[in-house]
Amino acid sequence: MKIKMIGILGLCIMLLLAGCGSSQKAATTADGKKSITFYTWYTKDQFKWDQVYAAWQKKHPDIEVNYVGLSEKGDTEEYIKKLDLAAGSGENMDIIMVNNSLTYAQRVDMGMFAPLTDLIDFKYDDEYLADFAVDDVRYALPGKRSIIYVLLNKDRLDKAGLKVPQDWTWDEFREYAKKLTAPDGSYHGVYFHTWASQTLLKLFNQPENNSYLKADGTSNMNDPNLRASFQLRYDAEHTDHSAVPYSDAISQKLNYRDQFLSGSASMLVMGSWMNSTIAGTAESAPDFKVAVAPYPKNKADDKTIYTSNDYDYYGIGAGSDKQDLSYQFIRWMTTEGIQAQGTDISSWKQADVSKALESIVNNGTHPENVDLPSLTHTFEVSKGINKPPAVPYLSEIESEVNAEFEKYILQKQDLDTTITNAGTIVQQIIDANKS
Amino acid sequence: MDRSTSASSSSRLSRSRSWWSMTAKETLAGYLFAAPMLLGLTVFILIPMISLFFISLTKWNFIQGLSGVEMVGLDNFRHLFQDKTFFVSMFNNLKLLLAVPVALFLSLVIAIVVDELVYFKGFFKIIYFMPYISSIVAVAIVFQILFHPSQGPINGFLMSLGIENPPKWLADPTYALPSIMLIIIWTSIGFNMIVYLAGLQAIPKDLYEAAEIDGASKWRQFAAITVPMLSPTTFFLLITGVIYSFKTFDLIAVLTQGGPAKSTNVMVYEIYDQAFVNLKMGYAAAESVFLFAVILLITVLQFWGQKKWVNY
Amino acid sequence: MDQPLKPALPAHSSKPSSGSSVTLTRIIVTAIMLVVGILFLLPFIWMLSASFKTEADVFQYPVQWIPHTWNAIENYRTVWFGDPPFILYYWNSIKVSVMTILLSVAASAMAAYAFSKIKFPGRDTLFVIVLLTFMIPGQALLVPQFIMYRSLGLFDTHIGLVLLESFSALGTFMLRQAFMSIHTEFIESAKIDGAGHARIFMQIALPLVQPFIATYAILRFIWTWNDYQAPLIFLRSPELFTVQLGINRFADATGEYYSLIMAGTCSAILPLLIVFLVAQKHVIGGIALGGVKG
Repeated sequence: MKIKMIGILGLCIMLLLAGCGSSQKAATTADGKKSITFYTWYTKDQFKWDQVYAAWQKKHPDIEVNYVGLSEKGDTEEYIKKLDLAAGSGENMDIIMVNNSLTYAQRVDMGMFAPLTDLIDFKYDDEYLADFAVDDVRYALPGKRSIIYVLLNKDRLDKAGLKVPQDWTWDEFREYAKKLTAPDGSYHGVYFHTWASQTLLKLFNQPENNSYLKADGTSNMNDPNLRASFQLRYDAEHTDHSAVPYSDAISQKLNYRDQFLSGSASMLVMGSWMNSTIAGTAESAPDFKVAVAPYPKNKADDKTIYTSNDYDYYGIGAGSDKQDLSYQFIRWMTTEGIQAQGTDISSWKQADVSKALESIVNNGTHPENVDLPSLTHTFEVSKGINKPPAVPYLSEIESEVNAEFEKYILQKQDLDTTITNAGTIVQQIIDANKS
Repeated sequence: MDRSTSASSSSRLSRSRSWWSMTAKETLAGYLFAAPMLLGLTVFILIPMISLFFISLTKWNFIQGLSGVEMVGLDNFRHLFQDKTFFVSMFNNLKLLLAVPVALFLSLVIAIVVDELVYFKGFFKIIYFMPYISSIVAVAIVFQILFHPSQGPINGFLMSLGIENPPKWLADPTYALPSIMLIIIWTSIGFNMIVYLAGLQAIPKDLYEAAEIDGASKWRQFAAITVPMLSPTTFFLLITGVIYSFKTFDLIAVLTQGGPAKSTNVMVYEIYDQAFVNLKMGYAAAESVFLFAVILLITVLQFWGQKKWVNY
Repeated sequence: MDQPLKPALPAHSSKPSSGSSVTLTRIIVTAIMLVVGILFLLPFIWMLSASFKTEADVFQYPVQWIPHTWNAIENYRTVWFGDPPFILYYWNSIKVSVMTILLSVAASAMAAYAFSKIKFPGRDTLFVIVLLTFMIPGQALLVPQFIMYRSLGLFDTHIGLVLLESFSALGTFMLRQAFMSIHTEFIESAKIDGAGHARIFMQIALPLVQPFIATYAILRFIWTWNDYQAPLIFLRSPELFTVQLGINRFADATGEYYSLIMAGTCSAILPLLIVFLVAQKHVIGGIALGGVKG
């Protein structure tokens, strides 16, 4: 039939065209110029790669770094999936970034990273605020550092006659949330995001036993602060009506940035990566003044203000044959590189935090909206907790416990049952993974 | 006489020779025709499938490539049978199956109505087909809006009817899965409809004419001609519908991520979770083998039952 | 018989309507279908309207079916002329989809014919194996497929994507059902006249299942065009990206820009609509089976 003939002809033509449809893979030959690959999830824009690379080239003009951004939108989940697939199919990776302790722990366990012991030529504790050693061996250097703090809509604070908190408890937080909720319900006092970490609020300011498992690997489900954390979330939403309902958050995939910036919520408990957002970006800027308060304490007489830290991890691929060069880059990146980026706080002890904060805010489109003193104060008083090293099956634990929390906050199950179930499930998972 | 005997024996010989060469030609034709598809399926699906069976017997640290393989025999399967979450996900899949016959029934009704009983046939074909051509991400976002617990149009409509506390749909562990089923039915009607339309086209008109002449009513014609003549199509749609329902992943990944409270966790999502979040490739492979066995069992049952109601 | 056997019956036509009651029924049914149809279209109306809005308005409640602030030109301009070259992605999608349809229809039709009309040893077993490949979800096969692709050098190529999408049991299954409903007398009589399978396939069998071929081609085009997961994993160079990857790029670290995503989606649906409109004429003008005529 004629159509078939045309079809087959078309197929042949297309196949020829497709031959040109594979990318021009420039063989990054190291003829004279040494080159390494750098795997990350940030887009070049987000990472301010041009700025960073220019600064790098000044210091090391002989080492070329090839940026491999695996996610077109800076999505870490997508990145990790592609990273694992690349590793599993034998792709040679020099520098690898990951974004949290669990991902790091899992991949150290699976041998993705090269040990840095022989490469580190300095006294570690003098240099960095975080130590990622697993069984005394370090596999990554800490990059940008975020603390968890509280963002407040200062315009609303002023209207309600409230002062910017410098040192407060969760009870006072609840009071603030109530006062910052519109009587007609048009906005809420606080938005809690759907992450599991936002269900453990009263654990994240404890120096010890601040996670699902204790440092010795046993279950922490009986910790009274776990119960109190769940209760806090429930009360804020169902008793005080000051929190945006969880059902809205999950069914609408609410975006925490938008909730705060649009005025839907007056307060946000979030990480300090929000610094550049509150100072204003091209896409979105707050149209109100923003103040910053430190993470609330559990008891008024707690001496120290503790908060949780998040880091970026810079590691070297276990199969890399350019470990020296890679090490030079990650050492530079985690000390001077982050300052050249100008968007985040580094984990380097020698960095001037208040100066960095000031420069981050001034890089925004509306720096005048940020109450800089409260931001600086927050960073000064916040002390990071030490979380127990993550175990590879932590993701399973987190997912199961969170499912129980969901039943509680969606009012399908009471608190006692929730805590009991959580305890049982966590123990089951621990036992199953003992072998 | 000699000539006739030799003629008949030679013709018998040539007949048997030509019969034999016809069978060889048949066989060769058969393999040649089937070769491209078989080759492609073997390389791109069968071989990965077989390797999956193999991986299910291991603990595989796939980041290390082949050197990360550790044989553990049936350990993964032993663990699987004690995995409550996995069995919950299996029950979710079984519940999801209900969407298939509902969708088929609605699609058949719509196909027949569009084929016979309306003006602007082409226009309606397009409208009812449109849900199927939309990307999953777009469909997910739109239904998120529609299902908003307090401000979305659906609950707005229900509340205007006087229903005080309409369900929270995607945010409610009891209603999340039915919401997903609704979306699946909405999208699959387009697919089922055009397959049914193709099937309706292929029914010979003279059958209807003959029945009309015999005085059969429209309903009788429908029952005695349309339904049986469509049975191969129905069978096809039933098989594919069931298999697709077990493969549902994208919608859940975008919309609910298995929640809330694991109420929309289906087996494929569990497998994805185990493989890419918990990095337990061996266990995920074992779950895949189990899922495969379930699908196979159900399909076999359907094929076995087809003799009872499908006419060719 | 030298001439190809062409069924000679007229194309499917509507039954003659008689009497005003039938027309009234038609009008009523049309009206009902229209209302239901609007419900079906509602999500698309939302998508279109979202593509005309500013980002802040997209999720405003109550839903603004007609945008208060028109941002249509800006949105579509950003999508089509912005930094990622949308036209390139469009072209890539067209390329990949067309190649996939051609390869897939050819391979499926041939295999379906073999499994239904040719007798050869192992036929039914092979068909079962074909069906078996349909019963495993793509996510489960991802890791082995990925590793194989890298070692075969198919990773990050359009050919690799086409091969991945073309080999599916569905086409074979569907077309086999279609072929099986052709009466064997046609085939037998053609064989007696000395026609080989190639001829029978091209001149008798294929024309008779034309509606199903057209249907399968439409479906395959839609699936390939809308596929997000496969290009996401199996392509890495931005210049090879397809339209679905392009649409999902309108996001940054803090979230997605839905007004742009919807503008991209509406742009991406157009070819699917066009293909459906064009190809469905073949489905309508399908040829009915009839008796053997001289």
